[in-house]
Amino acid sequence: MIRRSLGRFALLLLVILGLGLLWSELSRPIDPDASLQIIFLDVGQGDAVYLRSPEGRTVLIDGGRPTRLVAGYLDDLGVAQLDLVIASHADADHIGGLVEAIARFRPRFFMDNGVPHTTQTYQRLLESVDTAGSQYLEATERQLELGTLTLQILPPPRFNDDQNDNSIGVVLSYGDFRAAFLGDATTRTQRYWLSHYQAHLIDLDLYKAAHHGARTGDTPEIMATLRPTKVVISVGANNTYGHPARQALESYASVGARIYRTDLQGHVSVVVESGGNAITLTGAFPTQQAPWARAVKRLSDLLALF
Amino acid sequence: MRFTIDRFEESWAVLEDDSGDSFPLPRRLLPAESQAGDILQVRVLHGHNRSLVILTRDPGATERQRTQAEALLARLRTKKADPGGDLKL
Repeated sequence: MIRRSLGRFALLLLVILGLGLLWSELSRPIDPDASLQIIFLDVGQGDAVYLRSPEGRTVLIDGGRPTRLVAGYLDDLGVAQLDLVIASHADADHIGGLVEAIARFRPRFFMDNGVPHTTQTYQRLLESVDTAGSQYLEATERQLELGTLTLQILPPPRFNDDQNDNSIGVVLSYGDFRAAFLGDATTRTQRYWLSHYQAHLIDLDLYKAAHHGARTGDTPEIMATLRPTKVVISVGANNTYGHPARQALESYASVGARIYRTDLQGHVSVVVESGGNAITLTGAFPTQQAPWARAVKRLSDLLALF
Repeated sequence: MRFTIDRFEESWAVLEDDSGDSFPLPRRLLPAESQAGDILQVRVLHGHNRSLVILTRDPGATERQRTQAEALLARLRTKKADPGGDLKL
């Protein structure tokens, strides 16, 4: 009788302790300003990713096509200046919005793939960088540190002058958290990187779908190495080109990755705390998240696993 | 008037006009040897019931534009020399 009562008491104690721990976790608001922010901006058919380190260092990778959209988003985010702008390659759906963003936020550093294009958009981009006085950085194999954030640059292979083939790859590291942004890299560019820099690309926490999920990019073979937990596809609603392709979606599904899409969900924001805990929000920029919203989000993340 | 081929996407070409605006056009409507980066001269012949649009590759204009872009890139490279290697920004 006494043993049974003691057993029930111990069980009750464990349940109370568990609930207490759960409550303390749920009631702790996220402070985006003290975390790494990765925001996939909704630019329609194109790419634009904004990064902010916990120390306030800012990076913009690509700027979508519309000329003023990204600069407006940066205003909304309260950005005063950019530290680094990377143009993954010179196609207009990646650099169109950079012209205005560079003119307004005068990045200290600018990097592109070094493969000149003949469009007016590309010429305006370079003129904007020139006027802003940004330091040009070559896209060589190198690491760029911005506070506690490290960007490993994967250089364009230069086996021809094709813009997609010569995308710049960027692998972000923050503690144990790792994310990769490979521009519009084609399958052969990805294979080149995997043959030279595979250590940077395995077991990713977050992955930006290459080339908006086109069938020329991600494959089950590539995904089997990258093994991303989450994939974000930056793509326009009802786009002319049929992105994302069924083959790409199947490649993400083949590794069990959770898929987010800017055409369906708007901005996709990932907030990474110093311990590596990553929270994903859709349709909004990160703000200090209310405990109840965090609890709902956690629950939906949990249910998504099934 | 002239268009520049910004890129190809599946069966589409994305063309840029002189103002920097871009639009897709079926790839099969372009000259057979067209490549991304080509500048195309546009000539329109208007009739009563139809108009004829002629797109002609212009290698000379393409080369001049590429040279101009390379010069701009070279200017950025020399204006502030890249120290190279790993950097703390």
